[in-house]
Amino acid sequence: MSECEDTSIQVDGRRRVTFLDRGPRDGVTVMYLHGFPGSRLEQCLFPYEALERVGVRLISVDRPGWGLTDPLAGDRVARARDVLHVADHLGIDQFPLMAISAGGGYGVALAATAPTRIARLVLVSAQAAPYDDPATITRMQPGQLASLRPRARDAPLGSSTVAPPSDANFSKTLSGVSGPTSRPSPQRNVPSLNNRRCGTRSSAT
Amino acid sequence: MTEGLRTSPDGVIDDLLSWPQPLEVDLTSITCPVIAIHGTDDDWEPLANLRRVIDQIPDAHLWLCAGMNHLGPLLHPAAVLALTCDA
Repeated sequence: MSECEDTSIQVDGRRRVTFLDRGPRDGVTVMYLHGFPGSRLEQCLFPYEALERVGVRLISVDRPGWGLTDPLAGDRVARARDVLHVADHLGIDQFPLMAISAGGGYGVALAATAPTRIARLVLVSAQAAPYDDPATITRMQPGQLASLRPRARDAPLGSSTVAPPSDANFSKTLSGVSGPTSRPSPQRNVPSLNNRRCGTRSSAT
Repeated sequence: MTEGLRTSPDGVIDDLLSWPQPLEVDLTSITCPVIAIHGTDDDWEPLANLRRVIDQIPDAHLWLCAGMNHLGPLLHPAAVLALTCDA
């Protein structure tokens, strides 16, 4: 199998679901939910050399109605389940799930409803469905949005359910595994995607 | 973005319609570890909103990226990947 492959599968015999599979095949398989606007190609923000260095096989799925995945009526729980269909197709039982930005709500929905499948959920700059909390709406009014930044920066990490590593630790992590060559360069990565024998397949489940 | 809109605007419409809706799940029922990586200066998805969600998840860990905005964490792809697979 090549290192990069675009694949469409049929789900329930009628819907097309498309995913992009990049990275070393012996790496840890990570499923990926893209943001807004986005598609499976968004994972090209992660350079191939970063996938190789960390040992990750990254599989991004076009969410329903995006890219080459057919639309699906229903809520976030229903629309997130295409990730499970793709995992089933690949024979992957349990996996880490990365959700970027607007993919966050879908990631949370899947973690809550498929607990035996999701090994860990990583939310990156995730959307947190802000519009159901009047207090939050107030904070997001244009005149107050600017004040949200210093308030967020200065807010204590005092919740008992949140284990707060220090920023220094995060910086250490960054410096330990991330170098200048791993910075994302989508315009560079997309051509390289095409150069990595990226084929398109179709199959049915 | 172009690829996302390649065949239809349905994804855009469905996403936009979902945003005003509360999350459909009970956050306290999430049993897997959850790691949130977020820039302190993210004004697209403000940190205050994220805290509201992860405070309800039993095993949640917040990694703050000081001074970074919405796309800041993606400037460190290997670090994000390492946290994702617990490397």
